[in-house]
Amino acid sequence: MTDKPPAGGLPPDHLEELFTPPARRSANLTRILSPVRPVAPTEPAEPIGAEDDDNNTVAEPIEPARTPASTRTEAADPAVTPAPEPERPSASKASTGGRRLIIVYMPASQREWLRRAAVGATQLDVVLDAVEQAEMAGELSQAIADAYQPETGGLFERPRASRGSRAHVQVSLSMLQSHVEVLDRLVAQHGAPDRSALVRAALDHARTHSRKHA
Amino acid sequence: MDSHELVQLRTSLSRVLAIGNGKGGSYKTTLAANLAGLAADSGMRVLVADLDPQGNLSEELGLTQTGRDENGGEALFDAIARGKPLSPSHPNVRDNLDLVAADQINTAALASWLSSTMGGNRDAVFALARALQPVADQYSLIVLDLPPGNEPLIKAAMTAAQYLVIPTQADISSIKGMRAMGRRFAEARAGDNPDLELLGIVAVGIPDAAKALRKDTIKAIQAAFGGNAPMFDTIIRHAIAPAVDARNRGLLVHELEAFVPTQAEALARLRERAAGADVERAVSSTAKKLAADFAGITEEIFAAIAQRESSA
Repeated sequence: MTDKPPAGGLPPDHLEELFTPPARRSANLTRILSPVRPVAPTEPAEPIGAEDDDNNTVAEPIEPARTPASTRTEAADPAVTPAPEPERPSASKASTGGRRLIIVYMPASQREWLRRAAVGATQLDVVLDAVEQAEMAGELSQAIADAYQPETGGLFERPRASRGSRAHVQVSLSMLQSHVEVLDRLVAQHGAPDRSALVRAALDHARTHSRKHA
Repeated sequence: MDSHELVQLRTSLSRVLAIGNGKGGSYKTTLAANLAGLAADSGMRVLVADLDPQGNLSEELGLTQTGRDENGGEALFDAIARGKPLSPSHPNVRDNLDLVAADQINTAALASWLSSTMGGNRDAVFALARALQPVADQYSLIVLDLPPGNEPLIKAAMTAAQYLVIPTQADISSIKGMRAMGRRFAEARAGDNPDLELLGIVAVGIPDAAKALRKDTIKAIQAAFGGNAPMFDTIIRHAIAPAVDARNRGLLVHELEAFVPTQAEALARLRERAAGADVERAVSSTAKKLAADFAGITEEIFAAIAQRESSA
């Protein structure tokens, strides 16, 4: 061993191996604050457009662009008196990217699963993947049928998703118009009661599928 | 607004964080962008909304640099003034990160609309809160980047937010801006948003080596709050090279960090330079320290939120 430094002005190339690359800066955040926002135990969002329990039907999905007056979204809009018509800035519609806010209803437990499944992806991605996988596997019809198979264990036959038995929360999804069209086509093709029903069935299918492969 | 609606509104908006200071250049936008970006990078779904007509959040996130910042404020204008459902002007500007952008025309028009409407209708102060409510459920966190001095927009934001963070520099003007924000906070709590909480003050833009200045700044902040300032421990350092590089490239600081040359690359550059080659300036290694600052303050802010949620 000699104290003499190695020849040459610069150290050898392999020195970088002595340095540890920085940790992912966001690595601790979800350990500090849960991605799932705590929800106060208030009454669940009531499915808009749902018929009475007597009819045993599930909520219809909201379509803000078509029927704004009947939607919760509309109800949540600024409840201010009609203000003077605002100065309209010169703005094009292109920036909205042809998206529509679609609200679907699902049980709170399914919404929580959706949120967890959306880590690293958007909730919309998870929903679209679920629908696509069920459809491509030829299992979407069966998934919808399973979801709406009447519960026959009790005295009265009741559909599973009646308002009284399973409260639903709303999930807003910013979809492309083409997404909405595909969903609507699948709703008609498979005889699902509405978009929400189709999405719930697809997510149930995906959840079951993911458990099998876990 | 009746009490039932107010409870629903507050429940929906329990994770809305406003970042404001009454003075420009106090790192509001940089903090909002980097905090939101880090949260999104962790897997949370995050919405960040720019309420400043200058629209600088679009630069922070790289939209201006790629010509995608036109009419960014249209979505919020339409949601509030036109009563349309709010949808992000720029969805997925990063993975899990949606942006409601601002611009000179639309956001200034929105401020005018709010100003005239608030004059005749007390309920109009809830306009932003109501616009956010239907989409809040999609997000783990909503971050509002406040303008320095646009009263109608600030009032609407203070009514929509659950939490407030005030970044401030060391100079007297920034401290004055912090005091102004403190007064607005007090007014909001005494008026339309008693649930609003001041999470804390972030000291920003102080060089790491300026130990005496750091002490003086902390002292000045404490003096402004009568010795009880809720201050975060992390101080965002003044690091001009990575700050400029990040904004010019449209990168968040933790993204810029990835471009800091490795030891081997740095040595290779030295060799090339020694051989007479014209080597492009590399991203300063200070980017790593600045990225650590933003990660540190984000963790502190998240811990403060978590602590409040657990004791709620």
